[in-house]
Amino acid sequence: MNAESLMYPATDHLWFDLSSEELKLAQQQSQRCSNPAARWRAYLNALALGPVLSWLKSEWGNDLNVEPWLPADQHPQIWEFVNGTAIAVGNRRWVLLPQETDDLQELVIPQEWVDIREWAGHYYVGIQVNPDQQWLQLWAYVTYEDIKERGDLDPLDQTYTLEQEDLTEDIALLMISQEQALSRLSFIPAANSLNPTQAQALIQKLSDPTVLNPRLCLPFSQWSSLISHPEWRQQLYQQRQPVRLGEWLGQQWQGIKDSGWQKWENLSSTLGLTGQSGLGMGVVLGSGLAAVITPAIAMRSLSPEFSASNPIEQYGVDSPQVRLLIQEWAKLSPQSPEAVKVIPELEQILQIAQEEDTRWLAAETLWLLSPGNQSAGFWGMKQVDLGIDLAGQAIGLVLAVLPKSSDQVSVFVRVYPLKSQASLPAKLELQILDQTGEVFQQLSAREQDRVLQYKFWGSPGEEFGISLKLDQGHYRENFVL
Amino acid sequence: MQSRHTVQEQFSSFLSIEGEGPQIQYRWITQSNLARAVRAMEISDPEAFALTLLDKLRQSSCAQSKAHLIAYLQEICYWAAWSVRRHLISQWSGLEERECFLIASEILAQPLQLLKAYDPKWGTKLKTYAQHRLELQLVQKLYAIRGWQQSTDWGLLRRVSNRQLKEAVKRHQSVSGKELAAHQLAVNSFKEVYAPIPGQSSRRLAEPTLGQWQTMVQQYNQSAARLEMASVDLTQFRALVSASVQSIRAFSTLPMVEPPDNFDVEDYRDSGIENLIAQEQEQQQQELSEILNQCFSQLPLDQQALLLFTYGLGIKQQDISQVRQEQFTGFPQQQYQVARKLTKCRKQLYQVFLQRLNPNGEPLTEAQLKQIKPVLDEWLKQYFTKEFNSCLDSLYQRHMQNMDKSLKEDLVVDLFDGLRQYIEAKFQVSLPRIQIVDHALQTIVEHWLQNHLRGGEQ
Repeated sequence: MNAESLMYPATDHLWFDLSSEELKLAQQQSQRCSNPAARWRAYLNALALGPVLSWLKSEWGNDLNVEPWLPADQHPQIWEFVNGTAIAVGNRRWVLLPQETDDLQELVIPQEWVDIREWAGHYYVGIQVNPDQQWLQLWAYVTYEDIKERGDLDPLDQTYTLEQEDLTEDIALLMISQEQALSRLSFIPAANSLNPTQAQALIQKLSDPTVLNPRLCLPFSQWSSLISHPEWRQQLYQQRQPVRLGEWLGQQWQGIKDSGWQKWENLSSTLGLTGQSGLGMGVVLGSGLAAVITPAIAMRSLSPEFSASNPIEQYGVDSPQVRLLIQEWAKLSPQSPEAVKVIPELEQILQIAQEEDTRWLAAETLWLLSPGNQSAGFWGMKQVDLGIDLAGQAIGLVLAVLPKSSDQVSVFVRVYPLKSQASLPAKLELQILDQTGEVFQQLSAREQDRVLQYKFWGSPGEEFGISLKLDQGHYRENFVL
Repeated sequence: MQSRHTVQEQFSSFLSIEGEGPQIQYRWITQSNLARAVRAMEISDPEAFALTLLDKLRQSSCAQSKAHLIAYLQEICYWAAWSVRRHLISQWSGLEERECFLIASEILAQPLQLLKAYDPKWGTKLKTYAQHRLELQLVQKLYAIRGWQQSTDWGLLRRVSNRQLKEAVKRHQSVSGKELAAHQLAVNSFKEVYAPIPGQSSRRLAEPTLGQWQTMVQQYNQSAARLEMASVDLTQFRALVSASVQSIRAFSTLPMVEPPDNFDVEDYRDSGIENLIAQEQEQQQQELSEILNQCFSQLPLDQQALLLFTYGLGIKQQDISQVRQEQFTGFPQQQYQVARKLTKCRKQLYQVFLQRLNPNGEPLTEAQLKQIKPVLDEWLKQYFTKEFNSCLDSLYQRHMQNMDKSLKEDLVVDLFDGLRQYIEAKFQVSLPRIQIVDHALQTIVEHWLQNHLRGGEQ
């Protein structure tokens, strides 16, 4: 089966082929949304937008202004939450509504596109998208008036539905209607408003990535006020996005603060902590603390055995002796002449070492002695709010990324109390989740544990989540490598 | 398939098709109560009577009117199935006539839905409108069914509309109200959590992981709380999803369409007014047809040719490009380019037509725009058919007059060649001797022969 065989007898639909390049481009655009359903929605919308835009431009581009309502980089802010894309065609507005169903029994229009003043369109165009077979068709349209007159609002998913029999399945008529400006968009509903404090509280609530469909979590009047406000929408969108660790590695961490993360040195210095005052890798990995590191299945212990220190040439870069040496280096003061001297050594170790333990040890030591050094990957830190008073204990989360090979990235996670010498609250749970939300590693703090840490690796583009739980307190954030 | 002739048959019998291929058998099954009811009426104009039935049905549900109306549309149901199959069979081997007819009958079994937008005001014939809609919906349904059959259970859930899902669940699980909503909510929750990865196939979705199932349940229960519905556990949730899948699977196998049951019938009186309306419609339709004929002749020749290939010869857009390139090397090669050209062509025809209907340029309304669509659709369907049929009629007569000189076996060849020459002269195109064109001409001749020699009415 191909597009062509579907042509009969629906000659009043308008067909487009999709090229492999268009599929690839849409695939890239879809990555800017936070969860699988939103990404798939973005994919279908991105696929539909390109061909329809170029067709509209070829039809009317000389006489009319044809352009998407929002600049391309803001589309994910819509697709994250709602299906549909608006285009200005002269002084009329079209809302493109892609769908993936094999049947064409109905057109489903999210309420936002109808009942938000700034979003409502003159024409709503049904587009059947079939990426498997690389085609799409504009198959029907309705006007705003039609929806208000004949659409049923389904409370289950806050959408207006029009049955096939109530749609006009003829794109030639849509063109005539557009040219003669027949749809007037006459019933404009009143917009509701939220005050900024309410809005911030709602954004806070909905920015949890486990809330998959925020639009259904609030009464429509509240939701519509939130989503129609460009800054609030952007803020909500931003806060729901996974932290892009690839960008950390590319040193593009200008946006890092928006997500509440900081370059590790900042927080250490803010808190008056340095590598030597109790939080450095050397101390954490020293004999005194080795026992509290909960081992993980995929993780080889970071704690080397003590033995006499020896040079790299003599024992090999991945030897325990070299790891011991690195631990000694970690105790150096960052500005000291000795530290400056060992930095190239550490950079070299990172280049040639194969063992993950050696590499992480060298990376952290290098980061401590030379914060921001690209050879050490990137080390971010965040103060986690578990929503309860931990008897004055704030929890710190360190997340580091380090290229492992050309197509793999290593990740290191550490949870610890920000107050030096304190231990973690017992029963604190650290979970690492895979991209389907399944827990693939879970660690729990016992009495007197000072850190929980874990390392693993994955491919660029892969996703994982980190969750921290203590009683009712909960932190959850998603990351993409 | 033998068409029915008496009014009584037309409103009381149903076509049944048994077997496949050469063994195929057509049978008209008369429903005795309906037949009795029709006998008691004086129906002078079947089309007018059918409109009365539709009117009655639109006002209130009436099993008898519905049955009469379905009976009346049996031939067009057959022809819709026949022509859809004829067009699809080349790339869809194994598509059976009976299968197409059964699915068409299933669509026809809801005549109010099928004819929802039908408005006789513009003189469009009920039968023509119904057949156009049936063909459109049949082909869509066939493709949907095929798409669903190629999908895994999990892909299937993403590829079926809510409306279809509800219909399937209603029919196969015998549920309604909150129970039906629970199925729908389960499928919605499924889709909110589980989606294909962009770039990968949505048909081939694998089963979700346990974690995903659990998230779906959470999602369901959050919505259920909002909607004041009962919450579910994992087992119940999976049962809802699997019942939905099974319902759609059952829905997309061959339907069993039974003729309506026997029921008590009432007498209808023919008031005569319907006949009057029908006559007016007939007249109006002729006038509109005449206007459209003129509009068509005003179109540039290449646009006329495109309409001829599409609506007259039923050649698909991809093939049109091949046919036209035989003549014009510059003709667009891509199917989407032909699609655009055709949309433009339809638009042009609409515009000329609107101008003629409204020479003073009164402001047009969206509603009026929608009303002229069936007029154009009917005209496009009829115009070429009429041209071809009258050509074939006269070719046939000429052939019979010269019977002594030529053999009867030559009839088909005669008709085939004659039709080709006629079209080339009338529309000023040349029809290359390639398979696509030959196949299209054969289809027309075959259809004409079936009707003409067996006394069919199409």
